Amino acid sequence: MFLYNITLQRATGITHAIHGNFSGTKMQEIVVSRGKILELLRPDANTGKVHTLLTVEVFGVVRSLMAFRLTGGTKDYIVVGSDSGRIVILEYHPSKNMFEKIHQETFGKSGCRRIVPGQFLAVDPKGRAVMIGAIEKQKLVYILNRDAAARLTISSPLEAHKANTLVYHVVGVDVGFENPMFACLEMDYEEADNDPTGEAAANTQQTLTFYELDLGLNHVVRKYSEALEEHGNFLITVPGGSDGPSGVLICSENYITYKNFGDQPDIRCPIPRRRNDLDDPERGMIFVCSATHKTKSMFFFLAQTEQGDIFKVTLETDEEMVTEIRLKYFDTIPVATAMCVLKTGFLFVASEFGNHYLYQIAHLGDDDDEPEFSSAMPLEEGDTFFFQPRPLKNLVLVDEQENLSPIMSCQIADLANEDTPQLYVACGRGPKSTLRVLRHGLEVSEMAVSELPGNPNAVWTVRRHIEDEFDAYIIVSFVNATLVLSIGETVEEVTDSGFLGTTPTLSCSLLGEDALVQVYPDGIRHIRADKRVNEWKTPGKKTIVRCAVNQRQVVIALTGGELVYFEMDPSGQLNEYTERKEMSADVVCMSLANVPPGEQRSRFLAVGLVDNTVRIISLDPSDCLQPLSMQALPAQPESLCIVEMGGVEKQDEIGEKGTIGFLYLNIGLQNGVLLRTVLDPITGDLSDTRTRYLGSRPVKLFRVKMQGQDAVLAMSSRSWLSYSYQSRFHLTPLSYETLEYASGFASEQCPEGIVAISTNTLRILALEKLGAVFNQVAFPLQYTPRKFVIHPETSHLILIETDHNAYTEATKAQRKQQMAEEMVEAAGEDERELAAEMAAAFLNENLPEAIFGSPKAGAGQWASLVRLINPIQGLTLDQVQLEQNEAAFSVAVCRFHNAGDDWYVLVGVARDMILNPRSVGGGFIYTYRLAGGEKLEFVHKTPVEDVPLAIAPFQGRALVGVGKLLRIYDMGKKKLLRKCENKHVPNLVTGIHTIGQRVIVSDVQESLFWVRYRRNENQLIIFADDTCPRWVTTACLLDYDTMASADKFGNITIVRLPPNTSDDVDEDPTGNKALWDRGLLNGASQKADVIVNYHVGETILSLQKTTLIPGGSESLVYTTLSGGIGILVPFTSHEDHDFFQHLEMHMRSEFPPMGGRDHLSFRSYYFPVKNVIDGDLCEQFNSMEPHKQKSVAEELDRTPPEVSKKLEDIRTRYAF
Amino acid sequence: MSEHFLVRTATPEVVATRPGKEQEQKVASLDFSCTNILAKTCLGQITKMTDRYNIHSQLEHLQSKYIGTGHADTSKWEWLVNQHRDSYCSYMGHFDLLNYFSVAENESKARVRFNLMEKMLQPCGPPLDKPDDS
Repeated sequence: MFLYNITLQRATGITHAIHGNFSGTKMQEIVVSRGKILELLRPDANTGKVHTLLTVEVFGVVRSLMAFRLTGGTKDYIVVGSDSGRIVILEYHPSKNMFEKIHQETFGKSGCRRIVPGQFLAVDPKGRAVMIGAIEKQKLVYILNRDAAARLTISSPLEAHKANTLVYHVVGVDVGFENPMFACLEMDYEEADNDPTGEAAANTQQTLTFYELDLGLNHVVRKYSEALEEHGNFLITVPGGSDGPSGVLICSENYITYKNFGDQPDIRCPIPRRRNDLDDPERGMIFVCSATHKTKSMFFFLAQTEQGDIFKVTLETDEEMVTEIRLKYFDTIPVATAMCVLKTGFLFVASEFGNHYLYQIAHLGDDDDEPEFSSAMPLEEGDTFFFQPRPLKNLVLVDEQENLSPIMSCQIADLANEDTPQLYVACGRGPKSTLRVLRHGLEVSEMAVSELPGNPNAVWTVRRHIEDEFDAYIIVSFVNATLVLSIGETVEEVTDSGFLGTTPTLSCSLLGEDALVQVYPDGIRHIRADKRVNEWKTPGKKTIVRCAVNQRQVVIALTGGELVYFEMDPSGQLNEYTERKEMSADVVCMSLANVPPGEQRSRFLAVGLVDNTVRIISLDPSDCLQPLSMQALPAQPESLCIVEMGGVEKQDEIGEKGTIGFLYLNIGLQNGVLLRTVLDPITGDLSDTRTRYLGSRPVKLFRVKMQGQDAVLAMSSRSWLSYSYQSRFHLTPLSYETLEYASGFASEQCPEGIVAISTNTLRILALEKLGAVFNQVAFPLQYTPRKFVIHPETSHLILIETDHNAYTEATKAQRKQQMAEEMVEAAGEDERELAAEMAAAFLNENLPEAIFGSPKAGAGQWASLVRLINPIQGLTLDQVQLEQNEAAFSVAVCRFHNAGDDWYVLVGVARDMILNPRSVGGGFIYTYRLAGGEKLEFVHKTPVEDVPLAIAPFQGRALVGVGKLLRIYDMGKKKLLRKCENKHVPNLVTGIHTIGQRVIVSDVQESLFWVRYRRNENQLIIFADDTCPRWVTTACLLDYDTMASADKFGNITIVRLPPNTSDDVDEDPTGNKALWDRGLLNGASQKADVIVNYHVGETILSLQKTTLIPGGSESLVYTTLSGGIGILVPFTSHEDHDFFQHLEMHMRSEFPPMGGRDHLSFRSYYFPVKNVIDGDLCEQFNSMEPHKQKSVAEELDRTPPEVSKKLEDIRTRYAF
Repeated sequence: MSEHFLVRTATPEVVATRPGKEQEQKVASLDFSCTNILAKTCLGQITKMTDRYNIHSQLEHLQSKYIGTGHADTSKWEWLVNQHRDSYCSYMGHFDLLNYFSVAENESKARVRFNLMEKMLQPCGPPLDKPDDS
């Protein structure tokens, strides 16, 4: 078996975010790391939308990310600390839209190791040096400078190692132009390791250590070290030099402390706590992330606590000495991993889990009545400040980026009966959890819908002048009339446009600079800017049947297949070409390309004829109306469209903007197939045809603008958009109803939209999420979803949600009540009334937990529920709240052979479970009857001795993994009845799969076990297992002998029983051989063979074998914790495999990963990669520079388009 | 036992210095991967020292360079502590393992990271009381 890995949707969770001017222009951009992906985002200050400019997979773990700028420079560079044992500096090239690796210095082994730097990065705020540190011991400093040609240079590393020292965080201290200085939060463990009494460990203090890079002597000095009172978790650098007092803020548990060297005393302020918080009172509070905003006159910090509250931190200074820290409650937003304050007044928030947000900072919180807390306020030791959380006041939400992370579970099925299966994804954590339904398609936002007096046939938009940004008119053609609407504040009918309203229209367009042209069956109407009208009438009884128009040219086809060509001369006059051309058959469709910038005309006309051909006809004056090439088609063409696509936006030396792309001829056929061929810009030859079936209706094509580039809207029974995005072609269906005719649309409100007609309505639509593969519908959940099953009869989902460290609703209410009572009791006699009022207000107050977080109850506290949900409407039909500290971990829906036709839901619940070290107070299996599929009726509760982590239906009974035991249960009156047991699974059963008499069990750390159920003897016998330890998270049956499994570390493995295994056991009449014949080291006597190994790089929590497109082949779909969705597909021919293997090999050497990690060693992180070819790497072929593409393609004996076609083909065969 | 502790030298105030600009080019051209360094030391020492002593010093070199390299007297506790510290670092380095813990514990990622760092100090409790004879 050889597999090919395709990523359908890249990871969406963000691990790091930095901002800077990476393009070198005034615009601020954000670079985010999504684990193993680097992405450049640009927030548009006008619209408030975040656009993705570039996404690069680095095939390595990005562990730290920093932006820096050389002194006096205008462009920011990106430093990447990864698991490659190398430091990498990247530069963004806006002209080529790519990152360039400008430096890569090796310093150690690869991998996320204890003493290999990469975990921490710190830069000198003046951009003179960068420190890269490991968690223990090693720190290296690189000096950054310019050479004579102003290129960035990097020195050899200077060591700043200190043995036996752990590092919590490193930042560069802003010291102006003095020697660069780095501050480290360190802890020395040597004494603790040598003290058997444990006293030293208890007394070990964290230290704040300053390392100075002496630029003159070229070495690093450990300048100064000071013990800290409490353990900090991160540092914030304070602006220095001329901008501020310099120094660092240490964020530690419950306190924020300012420190600087010299005679500056420490300034310390407690972190304010929420008033009347339900949290465990013993818990400390830490800051999790921060953002700094600095202007010439002031600076402040925004720091977020782990509850999501943001504080604005300011420092009061007196003659360069900090005298006071002030904290003011700013707002509460979901807990973030990183925040960026942009100069344009936006706050980008990369959430830990759940969607990412872009906020506008509307107020700085300077002049409101929010209390300000200060370090100068007297407080007793251990006492703190309190504040009241409230909805947003200073921030305004402007944009949201969808984030699936963490995907806890996923199932793919067509529950909505839509032909194409949907992905049902349970994602999120705690109160932010959602059940999302993903469908392949682009999300369409409907800007306006208006009814028209009849059913229109066609619609166009025209501008009034070529320089105009927005369209002026919408022209709608009916069977016998034409309606002209003018676009302004509102859209209304006008009659003074010059268009002829009493006839249907075939086409209209802007001609030349400011003239308009209308083609109607009886002639052509040329409307000049001063409203002079020139008409050209058709000769005799002939009428115009088809036409093609662009900015300077008009071609019409008269009845009988006669072509007439008009071209605009420099004076703006439309002239007919002296000759006409008679075609061999009737013309069904025509298309002209846009006139290339700086040229007089488009040189090609494409004509589709009834005889199933498309002909390219030259419009060049030298051979005007001569046929150039011809292509035969499998069916009659319906529509043609020539577009220029695939070019990157480029700005040449003269500063003229233009795109360099290929010309593509799109052909829509009557049988619903779309063909895309490359049109040679010199000879007009057609080559490299790609075919795609779009739907049951004839395909109509329309040219529209998307993100400044041409795109094609193809309409069949479904509408599709064909566009090029980040150097890859996308052909994506629109998640919208059927449309009939469309045209591009630009107005002030909607700069890049589409106007379309559907029956008797005119619609204005916008497509904003280009590049997104899935369109999502989300339904909120209460706790972290763990697993769900589909009820096969009603297609409803039974979902279990469980949160550790949480209170159930009942406990929460009870605790609230208790706190309110305490409040009243604590008040004095005369304040009783006031206190009662406050208590009542507290009881009524209900802040949404999705934003404010749920109270943290402490370890060993669980909240859980079982939910029956209709996944199409998102309606919760029934839900069962479990008691406090009961945690549901497994669910199954099954029928029992002794209980009639009723469906039962079994839920495995653990009571009083402690995660680490694992212990449990007992377990239960709750049994519910699914009454009519709409209601969960409690039947009984079966106590078990350990956690039931897995349940599966098996031959009219239920297989349950209770801790390390595998049992069969049967339905009973009072409880489930234990029938059979196997005790030989070593640790913990986490999953059960069945096929025939075979049961495949996954263990939490020992991979898979094949168990055979012997019905007559009522025995469960392990007859085979795997040879490697694998921390299996999920597994999936591929066939009778083959299992796919995924582990915590991000590997996918497929194992297969050797051909002789199954026979031996099935025919062993007594079963004694398998029962007594213990193999090596107490393993099973037979071993499975590994046939596929692959490191995905993200923890995989679901695997499913399924088809994703109707008529497609089966693939193995996986989803990852970071929100990625990918598939593994089998190669169908040896040739293909051979081709991709070579392509992958060449890509590895020609296009090494951006992060510095070797691709082969990354894919072999834990197990050597076996039999999988990485499609993500192969697809980077399309983003390589043309000459490299050419050389790689030559090595493969092909041309670059052939290679891209191969890449596209294998993708579209299985997915999208 | 004691000689192994001799390897750990007190850290001087000046942590490290590098040769000046002229020599830097040469240093930079050497690959810093461990195999090269090892090969270099091997070759350099074979000519000077006896084989027995050579192996000994190589081991010492490894033990000082790579924390956790075992020796004849490694105790179970030491081994275990190194295992734990290595694991915690790996957890913090691999983003999805951190996500995994964060979801399981329902704590913020920063808190999980902080807890792991705190556990690094003494992951397996205090060391065993050693008899003084070694």
